[in-house]
Amino acid sequence: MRDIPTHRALCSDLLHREGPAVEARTVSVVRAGKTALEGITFQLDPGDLLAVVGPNGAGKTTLLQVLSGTLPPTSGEVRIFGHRPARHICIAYLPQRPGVDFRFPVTVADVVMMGRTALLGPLRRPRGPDRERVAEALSLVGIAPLARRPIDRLSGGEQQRMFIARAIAQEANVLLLDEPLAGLDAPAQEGILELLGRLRAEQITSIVALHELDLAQAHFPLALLLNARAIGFGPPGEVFTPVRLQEAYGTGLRIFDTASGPIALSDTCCEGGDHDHR
Amino acid sequence: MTIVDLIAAPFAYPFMVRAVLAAAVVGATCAVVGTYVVLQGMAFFGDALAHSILPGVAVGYLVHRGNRGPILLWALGTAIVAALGIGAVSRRGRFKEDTAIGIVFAGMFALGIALISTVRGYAVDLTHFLFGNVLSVSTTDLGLTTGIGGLVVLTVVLFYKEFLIVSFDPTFAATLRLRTGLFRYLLLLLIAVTVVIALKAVGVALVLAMLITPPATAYLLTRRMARMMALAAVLGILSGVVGLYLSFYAGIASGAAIVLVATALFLLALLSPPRRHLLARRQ
Repeated sequence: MRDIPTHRALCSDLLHREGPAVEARTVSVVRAGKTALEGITFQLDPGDLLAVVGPNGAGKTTLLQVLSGTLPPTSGEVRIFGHRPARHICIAYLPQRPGVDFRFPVTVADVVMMGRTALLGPLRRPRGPDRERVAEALSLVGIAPLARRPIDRLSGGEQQRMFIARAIAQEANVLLLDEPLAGLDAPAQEGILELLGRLRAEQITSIVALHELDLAQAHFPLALLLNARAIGFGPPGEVFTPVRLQEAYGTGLRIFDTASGPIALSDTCCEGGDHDHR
Repeated sequence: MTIVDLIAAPFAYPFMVRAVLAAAVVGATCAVVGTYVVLQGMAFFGDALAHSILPGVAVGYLVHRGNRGPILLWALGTAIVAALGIGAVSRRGRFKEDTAIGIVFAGMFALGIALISTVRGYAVDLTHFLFGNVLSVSTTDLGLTTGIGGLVVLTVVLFYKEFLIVSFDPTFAATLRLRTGLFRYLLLLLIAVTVVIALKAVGVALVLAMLITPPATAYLLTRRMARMMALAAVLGILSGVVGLYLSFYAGIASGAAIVLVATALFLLALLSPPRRHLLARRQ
């Protein structure tokens, strides 16, 4: 028996199982009398990279919360490597607004080390191997030089990278990101997208809620078009048809036929205050 | 009189030795727990908790008549009831947390004053509760204070990484399947216990200063959590000891003197230019 807490053993045992990394079976969520999600069903294999797109209030955040195990579905079920999500720590969830006070007196390395907490178990302090894992995670996401920087001196892109590094230090196999590109400039967005591609090579399954249809089309092998129901699931080229997009976005979306193909214009982004599903 | 004489003179009195030790223990414990109070914006909660203890102290005083040990236990019980009560009211009620705190705090404080006012010589007793009297700390008091303070600091050290995550990023703590509720209540309990042992030194009215002023000063000087906590403890001890000297030589009320020193240290850190913060420069 190796010297590791049981939930850690469970996490790595799960990886070697056959079958899907993430499975949603007819997941429905009713909140305050309104249907936020209805009959969502899909499967992802280890290393899959999925963009979840849809208008504001489509239930993107709710879906991520259910997958993370922090919100129980009203009906249906979620399986992560065949297990209920609330029973293990293979999942890392990065909320859109990371409920974090950036004035907290911690450095980037301190935050990434927090990923080791559950693996260490109570009453144990981080040791050499934990610090190595943190250093590796920081290098993988490309912010190794920022390790000792206080977190109140990070850009938006650097903050996202830090939280992704924490997920890697946690040895999460499933990464749930809610609008990780919001508020970032184009180079920072490209950097995060490129990083998500690299994580696929580590067999990390990522599910990313997005507003930008063009980025989903260009950078994601799989897309889920959501508006409470799953309107389409599969490669973006097959999912983003004018009919389906119109069905998802309704009047919020204008579709033009041009010589180079259809162009979709959405005005649902950035209405402000609409992102919370509380 | 040499400086050594000036420093040694108060220690000729056994009550001063006990007072200095008690002030140091209280200063350190308050500062360690207070680090979380400052970082989580719980100052109002800490202040309310201190005031809520009054009925417990009063009942203990009425029942045990001058016997100090049991009064501490009564205060502790009341603090726990108040802490859990505030938590429950704010979670169950539909108003914001500060409203819940305010209702519990004012109600219990009034109950305490009502109970004390039934006793003869109530003005003198009330003054002791409100402003503390560290000079009258008995050997038993000192032992209890040190034991409880040690337990509080030990708990914070043992669960350092759990408390850090639960207070820094509750959502993340939940996905790590940490028992966030448990650690939140444990923190409230630690604050309650700390307030009780600080009561004797600085009183109900000034406990808040011991909880938040040294950690706030430390926050100005360093941006590392563990360092902030250690530095806050040093500043808390310094405030306690220097405050008592001030009280001894200038004839100022002990609790007020301790808090004034802590405030002076804070102002010094606040007004000194940032570049000269030695600990900050190392990063």
